[in-house]
Amino acid sequence: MKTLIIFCTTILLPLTGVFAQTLNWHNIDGGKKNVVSVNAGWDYANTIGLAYTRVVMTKMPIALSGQFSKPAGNDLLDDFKSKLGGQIRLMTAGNFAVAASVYGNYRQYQSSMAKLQSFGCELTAIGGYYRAHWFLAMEFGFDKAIATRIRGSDWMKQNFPSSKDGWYVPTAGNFLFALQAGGSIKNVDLFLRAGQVTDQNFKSSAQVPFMAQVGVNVKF
Amino acid sequence: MKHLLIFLCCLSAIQLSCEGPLNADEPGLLVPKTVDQDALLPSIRANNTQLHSEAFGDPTQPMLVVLHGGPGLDYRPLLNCKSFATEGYYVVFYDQRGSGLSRRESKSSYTTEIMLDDLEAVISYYRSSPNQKIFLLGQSWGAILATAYINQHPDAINGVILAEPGGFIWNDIKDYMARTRKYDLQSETLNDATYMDQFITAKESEQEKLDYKFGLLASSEGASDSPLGDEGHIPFWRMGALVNQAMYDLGKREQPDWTKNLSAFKTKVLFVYSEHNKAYGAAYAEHVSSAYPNVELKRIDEAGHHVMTFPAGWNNFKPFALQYLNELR
Repeated sequence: MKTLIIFCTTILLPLTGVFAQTLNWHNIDGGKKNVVSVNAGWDYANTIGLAYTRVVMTKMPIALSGQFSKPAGNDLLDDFKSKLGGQIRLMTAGNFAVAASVYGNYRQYQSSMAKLQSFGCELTAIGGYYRAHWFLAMEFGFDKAIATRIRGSDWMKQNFPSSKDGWYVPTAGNFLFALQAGGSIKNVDLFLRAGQVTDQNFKSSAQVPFMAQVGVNVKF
Repeated sequence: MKHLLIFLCCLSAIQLSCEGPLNADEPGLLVPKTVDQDALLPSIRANNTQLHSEAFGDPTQPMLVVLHGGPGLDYRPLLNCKSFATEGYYVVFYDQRGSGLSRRESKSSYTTEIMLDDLEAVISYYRSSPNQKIFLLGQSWGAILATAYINQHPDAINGVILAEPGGFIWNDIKDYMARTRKYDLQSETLNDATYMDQFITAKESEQEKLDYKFGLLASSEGASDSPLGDEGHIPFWRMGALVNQAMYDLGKREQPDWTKNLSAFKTKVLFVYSEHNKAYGAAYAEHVSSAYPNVELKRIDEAGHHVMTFPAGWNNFKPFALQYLNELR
């Protein structure tokens, strides 16, 4: 099992494409291949994010993206999340579309107690109704922290000297159930995502068990 | 970019394979072992559990039982109270059920009643004679527990020192807790408390992970923008996440009121609050302490919520406490 996890961390990360980038799939084949997105909201903290997506037109359109987000706070880059991955439109039926995404993530958390660096993987299914000027969709995703390096701060080591720094596997898993809605005008999409976060045991959940995000996509 | 990622992942895989990945649930890695996992720790068996516990001083002298906060914290931040042993008191410390280094139990087993029975069992364990005087000293949740005990047994205790209990009825406790968690939405402290949820999740049975995560939360309480006003992080051995969650859930469900029988406790109570805890203050201290008929209210200067942990607060607290105890011994 551990070998599998290490294998996934090593192999999956570079191969997986996209992002849980919020897209209007109706307009994806409009000739604009690049999408830049800015977003803000609550994603385990008060965050801002930036994303870039490259659309590849195949029989089933693929959107390859990279994203970086960071929470508010005085320390500029002590906490952040980066993702690389791919999103693929699996099928359409009239104005309905179903897409799936797989992406690898690397994130960091630091406080006066510890520094945590984690490699993980996110899988998401998205299904919705997409028109030229608006869309409404549901998404269901799973985010797994596969391997996390935990390093205690000097204070923590003083507090518990025999604590063990190192890579811990696996350390977290969270589900996300969310709704997406957006409006599209020319080459701009405005979108809103909001949903419930619950951990993989469905029993306990995050201290703030929801996420909400507003953002804008500019296509060119 | 792709090559860089492959390089980084290979590097992490090499490191993982060299050292071997660690299991967060293995005792002693992220959090210290509990008394049932480490036989070298001082412990007692009481009320069908194993509690991390120590006592200092002459066992025949008046007993001072120190009750830590939380629920789920431990007695390490209160170790300054050991010095009451040199003042003629038999000082008893214990980590409450499921807290600190005491044995972990299932979530459903944690109730206020069992915590009160534990306290009674600890007193019985250390008591050297039926005439030995018993004093309680409670910090925060420990002060609530002491009050719940007095409410149940108003004749069993010879005196009590209470330091900033959140309240003795649920609505007070709930409001106080909300005030202690007032952080700016843009603050580092807030994201230190919430951002970790994507790094660590755990089942109820994975108590090492749960306790480690709960310990990380302590960073927000010791932050400079925390309303609690402490000088820094309080030292602790191990947080008890499950007992904290269980007692909070119980509070929400049962809306306890531990004041109904306090009028029967005529002995003077020493009630202290700190100068720097912005969520407490004189008015709230007066409100909470008014549940007792006979109260001596003192402000502890240069202290935050953990009045007995840091040197300045301790030096200002100890004379009041000692004077109070000596009056009643």
